[in-house]
Amino acid sequence: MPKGTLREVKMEPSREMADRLDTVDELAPFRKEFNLPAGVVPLNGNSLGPLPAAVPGAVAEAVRQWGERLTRAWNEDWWHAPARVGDRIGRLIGAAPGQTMAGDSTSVQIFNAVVAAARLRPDRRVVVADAGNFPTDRYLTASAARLLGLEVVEVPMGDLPDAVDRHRDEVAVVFCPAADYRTGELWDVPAVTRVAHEAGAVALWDLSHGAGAVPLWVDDDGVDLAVGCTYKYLSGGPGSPAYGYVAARHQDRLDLPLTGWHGHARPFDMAGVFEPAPGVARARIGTPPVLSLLALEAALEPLERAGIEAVRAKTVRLGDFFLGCADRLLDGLGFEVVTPRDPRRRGGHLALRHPEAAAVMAALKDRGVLGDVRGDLLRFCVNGLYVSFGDVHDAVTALREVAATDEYRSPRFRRREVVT
Amino acid sequence: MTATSRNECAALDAADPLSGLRTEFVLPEGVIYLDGNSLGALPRRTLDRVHRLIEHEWGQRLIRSWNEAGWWDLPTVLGDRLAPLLGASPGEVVVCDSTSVNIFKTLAAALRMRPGRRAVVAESGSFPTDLYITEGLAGTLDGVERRLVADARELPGVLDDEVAVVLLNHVDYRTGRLQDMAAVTDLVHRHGALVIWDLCHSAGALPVELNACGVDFAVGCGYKYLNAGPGSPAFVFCAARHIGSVRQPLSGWWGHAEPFAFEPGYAPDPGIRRFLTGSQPVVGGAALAASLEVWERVDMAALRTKSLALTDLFMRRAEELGLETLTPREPERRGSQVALRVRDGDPGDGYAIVQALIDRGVIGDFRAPDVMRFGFTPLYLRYVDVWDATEALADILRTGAWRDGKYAVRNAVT
Ligand SMILES: Cc1ncc(COP(=O)(O)O)c(C=O)c1O
Ligand SMILES: Cc1ncc(COP(=O)(O)O)c(C=O)c1O
Repeated sequence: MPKGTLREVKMEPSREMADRLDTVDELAPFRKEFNLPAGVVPLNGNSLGPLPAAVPGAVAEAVRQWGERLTRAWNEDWWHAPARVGDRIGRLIGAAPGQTMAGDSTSVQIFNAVVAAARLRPDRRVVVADAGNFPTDRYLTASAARLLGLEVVEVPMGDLPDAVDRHRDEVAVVFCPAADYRTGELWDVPAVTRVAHEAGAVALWDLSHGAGAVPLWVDDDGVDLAVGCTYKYLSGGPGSPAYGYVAARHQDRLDLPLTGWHGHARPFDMAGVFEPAPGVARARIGTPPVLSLLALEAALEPLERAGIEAVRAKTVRLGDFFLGCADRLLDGLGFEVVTPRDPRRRGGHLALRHPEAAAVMAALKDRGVLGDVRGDLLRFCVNGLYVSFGDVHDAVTALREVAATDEYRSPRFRRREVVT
Repeated sequence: MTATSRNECAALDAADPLSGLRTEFVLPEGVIYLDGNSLGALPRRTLDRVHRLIEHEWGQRLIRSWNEAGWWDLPTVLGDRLAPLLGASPGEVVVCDSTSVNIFKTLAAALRMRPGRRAVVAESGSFPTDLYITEGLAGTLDGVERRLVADARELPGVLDDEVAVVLLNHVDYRTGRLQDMAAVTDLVHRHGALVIWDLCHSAGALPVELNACGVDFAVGCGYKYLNAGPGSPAFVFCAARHIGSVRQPLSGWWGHAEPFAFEPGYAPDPGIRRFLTGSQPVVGGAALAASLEVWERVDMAALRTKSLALTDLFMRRAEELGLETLTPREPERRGSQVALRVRDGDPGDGYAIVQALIDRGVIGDFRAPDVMRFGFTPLYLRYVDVWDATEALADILRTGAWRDGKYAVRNAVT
């Protein structure tokens, strides 16, 4: 953590300071590796990462393979893509090769993982889960529990160790997100995993807001299973395939409910009986979305080259700078910072509460500042890979102008969009 | 009437009402593609559509495209556009996930609609994923029994008041046998059960009449006859009469009535969206959107006529070469593909023959244990292509070229 800079930044969060920090920023060249539209401040990479410059070429190549190689491309390239891309994601979350598989949506991965995790502890009936987890995690946990006859105990993360302790002899699975999707608060993966293990439970993590945002060490931390999406911090594109991680020690016992033909030991034997593939390959289901998968593969490259540690260090500094700007420019305008100020407890985005969050965000978007809204929270993702200090200053300045002039009260910012 | 020479084939091409569609596709030089039942060819317009999606909608407009470019509504918008090809009505089809995942959803949904019944029937010869998913589901739900039949003719023997749902392949992936959807659906209904048809080999291959047949559920993929690209999103059909009450277990936020209210509990969307689970790959959706534009110009009756003529031509020529055809001769029992087998050969012979054909630019595929499979896609195949393919086959058999050891080497994907 660059502690020295923290204090320096807090002294003078001005445009000049932003420019100075950008000039010395070693990651600044990576911005060019994303095709960012002119006039846009991209602070919503926690929802949809921007387009990596290498992706259009990769997708064109995938389409060319389709057109020219047709079914032959399955052998030449595509069949192995889920495992290949999975391993690359694995490196970003601290997983050795052979434990991560790309495919399907996060939601499908969640269902598969919750059921399989519970089956690793067949004599136990309780799932303890974060009550603040993203809704799809909660819906699918409830559905899996209904099918398997499990009880779901949902508690806020702060109460989770106590809840696990209360159910210590019956808890099968502990299911948490790497960070809170609303506030951006980062949770302690190794500590919570230990809590789960001490009670004899399996630890399942949703890394959607962690992978690519913060360094993760799933192998070292003893994580059992994990899932995550790739369209946020990994910039895989809208609806790009998700991934599942299965620790090597569980793979050959892993009993997944979604037993599709791509997860078969010998899919082209066309055998009548399902025999799960050895290793993580059993986590494949049906035919993967190839174009999207190859787009994702190309998207990973800038992040890999920059290195997750360097990106994280800059994200922390951007966050500090954001808070410094907010303290100075937004005072008295009705905003409240809800993300922890301690950078060790922050993920990749910051959240500000405002009673008119939706209208404020609509007005901001009109000025080209892209963030998003969850309830009364405005979310701003400060991904160190492509966000600049200038962006942060511009965003907070725009926030100030929108709020101070009541610009957001204009009727045109009242319209509710379907997707927020 | 079947052509008996290449010239006659050329004459048929000249008179073909669908011939203008071939230019809609990118077809590699020197290739006769008889594998569109595995992966359909690339429509030209897909290149632009995908490029626009990536560079403009994603690159320039970023998250704004969820609303502006209609990404959020794509699953139902595409479903409505697909519906006419399936004999379905708007609001009954949604595009999402893989066929395998959709089989899981519909099977579980059907079981829940018949609470007193715990048996699921599937065909032992169906595409393996149908069997595997049935197995996985039966292992997940308490007390579900799986019954297998060789094919629909055996259904009367297993349909009783325990059976909740029957999962059937409309066209057999190996033999190309087409089932009588109306009669079988009726039979299943008379026993109080529900039916799911897997349309992977019939959607875009022939006219499908889901509603006229009273079908409850259907699933299928977009990457075969529909030409939407490798791993393009699949689809789910649910009859309008069931949608309001049906529940499926992959109940993710995309199927929620108010997904952006971020409510703690699940409440299904009132419509077909309740079959959605999570975020869908928009690139694949864009490719499907492009390929459906081609389909808007297709007369399905003309498609069927040509498809039958192509398969008929191929089967006759293959029989003349002494190969065994596994595909029914009766047009009403045939899909749009032909399966061949080497009489009295080793199972591996078919594999080697297919490899030798591929080497000469005639692409078909092989399905274990011994089936050579050739798909016929009337949108981009000509009669002369079929003729030339059979000439290549004849030559390979006559010269024994397929016996070269290099054709016995197995790939991961066959
Ligand atoms: C009848 C049938 N169902 C399903 C599939 C494939 O399912 P998925 O799209 O999930 O890979 C196939 C693929 O060939 C098929 O023939
Ligand atoms: C923690 C978490 N899990 C899952 C999802 C989304 O799931 P899916 O990719 O299936 O839409 C999100 C989306 O924002 C999320 O924040």
